[in-house]
Amino acid sequence: MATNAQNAVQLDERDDFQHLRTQQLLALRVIAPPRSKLGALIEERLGKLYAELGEEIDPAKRKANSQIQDRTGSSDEVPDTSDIGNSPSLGGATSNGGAFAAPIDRELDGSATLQDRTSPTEKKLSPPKGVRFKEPSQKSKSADRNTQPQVEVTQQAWIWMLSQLLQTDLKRLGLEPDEFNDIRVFLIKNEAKKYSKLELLSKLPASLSPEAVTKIFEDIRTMAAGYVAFVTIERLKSELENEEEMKQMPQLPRSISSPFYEIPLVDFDPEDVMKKLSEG
Amino acid sequence: MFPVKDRYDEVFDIEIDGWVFGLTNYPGEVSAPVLHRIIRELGSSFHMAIEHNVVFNVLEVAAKFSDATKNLVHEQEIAMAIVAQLPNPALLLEEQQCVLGLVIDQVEQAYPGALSSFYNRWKIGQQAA
Repeated sequence: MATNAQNAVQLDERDDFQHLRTQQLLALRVIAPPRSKLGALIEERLGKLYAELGEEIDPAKRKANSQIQDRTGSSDEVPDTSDIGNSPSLGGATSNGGAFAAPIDRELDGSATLQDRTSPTEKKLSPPKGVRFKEPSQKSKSADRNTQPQVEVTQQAWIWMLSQLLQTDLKRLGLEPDEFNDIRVFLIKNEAKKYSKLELLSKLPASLSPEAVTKIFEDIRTMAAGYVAFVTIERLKSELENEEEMKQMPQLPRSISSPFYEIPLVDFDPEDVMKKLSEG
Repeated sequence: MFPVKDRYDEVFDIEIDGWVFGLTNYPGEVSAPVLHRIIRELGSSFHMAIEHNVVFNVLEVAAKFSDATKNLVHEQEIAMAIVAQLPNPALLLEEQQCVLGLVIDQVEQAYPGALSSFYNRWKIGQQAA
């Protein structure tokens, strides 16, 4: 009995972990540009997770998920995340016990809430530590969802969660660090867009502009090239001064007269030659 | 151990030291994008090092760069960025694959899981090709 209970707990924990991973990947998919390398990686990873869960995502669910993605906008736009935070597809386990057994229509109309995310053992999945999802009241759920303050809070939490997920997923997804950095910049830019609408931030920090990065890179490269040239010359000099290295140098043709051969000096006055020329 | 060809280890060290010199002497702060740009620039040098049987120490290079940027960029991030620039082993000769394995092994020892993450990447790259 005890073993069965332990196994059940372990299975629950494993399922919770897989649900969390699936949420993370779905969250990443929202911002991944379609048909990008990142998108392909996420789709591959999602497929594996679904296989591990023993469920296959059917074409209808895929279509529904893609509709959700389409509704959240393309990567060039600020994603409308007002109902993403409330979506059970991104939220985790469902009351049916299956990984994604929640009806798709509930996902699409956004009527499901965080409260729906209960496992069969009544264990509630909480959002990541530090994230505060503002749960809409039961009475006027749809009305509250459209109000601006709630959207702001949800979006901030969402972006915070994404940035956290990106850090943890760096290894597992095989993301290149500079790709990760690009996504981080993308998130910051989206945040900045939000504030620029409020005229609190009119431009991005200079360090984020590609021109600034190129300028710094060129300056450093110039210094690096100078260093390499200096060190190379110094090293060549020291090698040339080394006698053993000199011996290894290729044998160059030598001059016929040896420096050790004594050439007799001749008395010579150029004036004599000049006089002879004038006389003759 | 395979013999180093054309004394490329010396050339590689000078190049790395050159970049470290540039980073150290840059008067302003060096952000992560700049460093990633530098590592991308060094990609061909990493390829050449592998081709010349140079088993360079990724962690040492990462530590040098991290120190040069006044620890603004973490060593692990730099190490991963360097590994990401290494060539796909499927495109290398057997001798070079051994050298690449020795290079990556150091990173795997320090940061377990590095190899598997990049293995996926190479696999996807192969499929795309």
